[in-house]
Amino acid sequence: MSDVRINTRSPYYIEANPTEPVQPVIPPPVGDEPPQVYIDVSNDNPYLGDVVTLTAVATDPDGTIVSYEWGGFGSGTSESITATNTALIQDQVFMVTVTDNDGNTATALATVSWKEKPQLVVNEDTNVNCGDIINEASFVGTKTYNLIGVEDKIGEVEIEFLDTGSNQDVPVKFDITWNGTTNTTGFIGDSNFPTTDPIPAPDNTASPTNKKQPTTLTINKTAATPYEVVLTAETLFPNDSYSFILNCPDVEATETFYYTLTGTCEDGDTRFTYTDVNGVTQEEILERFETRLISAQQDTVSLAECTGEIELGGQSFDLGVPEQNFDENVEINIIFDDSGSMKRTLKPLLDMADGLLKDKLLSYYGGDTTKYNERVNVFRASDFNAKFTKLTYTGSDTSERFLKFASYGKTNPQSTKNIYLFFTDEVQGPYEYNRYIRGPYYNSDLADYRSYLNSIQYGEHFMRTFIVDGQNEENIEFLKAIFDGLNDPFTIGDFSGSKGLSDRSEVSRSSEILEEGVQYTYIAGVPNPYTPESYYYYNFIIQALQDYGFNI
Amino acid sequence: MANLKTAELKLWIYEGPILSYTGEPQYTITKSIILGEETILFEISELVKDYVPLFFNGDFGISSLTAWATWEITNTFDDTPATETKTTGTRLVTHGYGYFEDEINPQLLTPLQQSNTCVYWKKGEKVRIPLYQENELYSVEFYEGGLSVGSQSFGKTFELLTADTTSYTADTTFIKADATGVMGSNSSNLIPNISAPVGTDEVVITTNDNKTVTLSIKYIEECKNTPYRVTFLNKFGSLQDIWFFGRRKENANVSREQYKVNTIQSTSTSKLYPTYSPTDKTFNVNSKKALTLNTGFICQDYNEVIQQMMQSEYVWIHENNKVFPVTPTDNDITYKDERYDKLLNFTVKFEYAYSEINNVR
Repeated sequence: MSDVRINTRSPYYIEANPTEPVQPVIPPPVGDEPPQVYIDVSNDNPYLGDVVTLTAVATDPDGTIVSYEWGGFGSGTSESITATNTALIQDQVFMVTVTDNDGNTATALATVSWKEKPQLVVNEDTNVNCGDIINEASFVGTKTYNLIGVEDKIGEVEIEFLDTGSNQDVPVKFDITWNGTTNTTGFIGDSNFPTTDPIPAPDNTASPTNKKQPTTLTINKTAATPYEVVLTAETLFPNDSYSFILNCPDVEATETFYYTLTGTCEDGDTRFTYTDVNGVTQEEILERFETRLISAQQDTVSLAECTGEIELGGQSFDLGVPEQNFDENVEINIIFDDSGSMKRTLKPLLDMADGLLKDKLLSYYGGDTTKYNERVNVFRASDFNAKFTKLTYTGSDTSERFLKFASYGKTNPQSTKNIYLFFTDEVQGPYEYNRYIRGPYYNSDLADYRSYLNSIQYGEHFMRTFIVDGQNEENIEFLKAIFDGLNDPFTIGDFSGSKGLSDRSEVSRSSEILEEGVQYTYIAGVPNPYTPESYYYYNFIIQALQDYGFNI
Repeated sequence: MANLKTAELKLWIYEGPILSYTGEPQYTITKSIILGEETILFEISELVKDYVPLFFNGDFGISSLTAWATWEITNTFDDTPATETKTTGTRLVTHGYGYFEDEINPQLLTPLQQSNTCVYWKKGEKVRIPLYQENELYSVEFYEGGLSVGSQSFGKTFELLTADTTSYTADTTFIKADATGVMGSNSSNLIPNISAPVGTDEVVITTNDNKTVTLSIKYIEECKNTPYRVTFLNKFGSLQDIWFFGRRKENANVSREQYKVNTIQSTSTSKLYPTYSPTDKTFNVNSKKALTLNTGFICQDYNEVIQQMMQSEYVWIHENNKVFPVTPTDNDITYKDERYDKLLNFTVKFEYAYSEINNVR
């Protein structure tokens, strides 16, 4: 970066010039000197078919070079020639004679050793577990090793190269990759291996390290997921052999939980301390009645100063959610609130479930359409209520009591995981979960739902509510408050901890309002102009499943 | 071989066109080499700071924040007779600062002279973005709903650079020569304040090597509270604006002193304490006004912006078509994370940088 600027609040150093001025050296007069020459070869050990460039590097102390004569290639003023060989495996000698303006000459020789091009070997991937020792014989090409034994462990994943006693000098490049980051050894082997073709010069480390102990290649796996760690070995000409052992980190992902902290100190602030997922002690200072959601190792949260409340929530996953296995026992309940004017957008959702989503998931159900239709369903909210929850109409809109619906859990006895996805225009309609007085059902439905969540293991149930109504800001704020745990006594009210759902990893809301596709835009007598294509829903649903760790 | 013995630094700081300094230098410093070292270093930013203007009265067009610094170092060697060489240099000076990670002589030459690319702005107001014009900046384009609504070009393209290299033996030579040409303008022109057309929701900055930086602008129409605009001198030495859309709270801290007096009134015929005269007299009453502002819900980029505002030595609030100096009084900043804090609101306490009662004599 060019140096053109001084920033006055940071130091700026300028330097005196420590170099003494150099007096020009006048070269002594020279006599009738002969030229000097040598041949620079781009690759003196090429494969058959490669093109090699030979350049005569000539100097004349008392004049200039006027001609170059390449033996067998003609004469002229060209200082370079190219050569190739497609048939004979042999040493080939090249000669150049240069002549200066005084008529003096000089000659240089260079030898090019042609060799046969090896066949590239394509190998199947190899799975490697922790502690496995891999012994590879000679090959040319690339081999891939899936380090499956690492799984969700966190820390340094190490490839330790072993000394098996056999020749391990021919260079091989090893790359280890995790989560988009790659570490490399460069080409390692004998430090005297050629610096030109076939090994590209930029990759040639010319390193004294070899493929034996104590050479290692490591990568820091800082999170539980993604699980995949891949090692590749690349050799550009016949490799002799190598051997390595996979050393896995022994640190399992630390278990953490959500805690909701509330300051109750009447005189000053409340100070809490806790240990985070990395084992570091953290501090939170809260004013009276201020709340904060933290993620901490279990039983490490304590009051350090004054009084406060500590409320335990569900498991948290600071280093990535655990992967979930999608199989035939996963059920998906997509519940669509058709009580308002968005009911015309139900058909694209049904089309999606019977089209794009079916194409994507059918293989997980063994290609069995009947089983897919049993497990993956789009329900109108009123139908779901009639079939399962059977809530009684009491003058208010039962279709919007999504907490109660989600509490129902699995609808198929064989299901091991159930996923609820709600497309609801509003959840404050006349009004079950009204945010100001919290309606007659919010507290009881929330308590039922949290009770259900506490009765099952993480991974058995997931829920996401999509914010559909882009017009009703009051409703958007209310939904966000439930899932984000907002606490503002002057506006929204207190939804922190068990008063909402912010302390549960298995539930979430959509990050954006789905106004593009299913916006609730009720104007009497005017049709809803928004009719989404079926893929619009599909993208949201696939994203939700991937967010919860389903590797589909 | 002769070694460096002493160095004399002459330093000029001035405004206007580059190399337009006249007269005696502001500083002349002579320094001998420290035993065991091979060169002599001068740290000049603290010296330069005294002469760099800082003027802002609410009108961004006439604000003055930069200057030029030109130096001449005379290097004297220990041979006999003593050999002397001279080295010179000129730099643009700003009120910016680098972080520890920016290492020695931080430059901060990015075209965008602010740390956030996500901008929250009051609806109906022109968006203002601080830019650095010198070598890197090629053009700025404004979009509304994906449609171009205007652009501004600063000249020079990557193609021009390669085309002109025939005049020079190396690219670096050309770039240096070109930089001198650009630096021939007034110092203040190097950091322009570009105002985007009203309604712009995306700004694309193109650099001379064809890289782009995209700013997304989100307009907030705040109905409940009155938005307040705060301007501060950021890390880059540029004036940056931040809007506070949330609730505003104000309070005043009043201090006073008292002394006691004897109010007895006596004559030859009577003695009394008048009940209408105070025995506790008040004097030296002072008042400081403070306010608390909320940003409203904004993006995570503002963690760095809020930190830079807290670190700033110059902060103003726009009120009643004037600007008033304020001082952030919070001493710690908690970085917020959208993953945990979900909707991010920053609450910042300020104190007006003057006494409420005008009593400075």
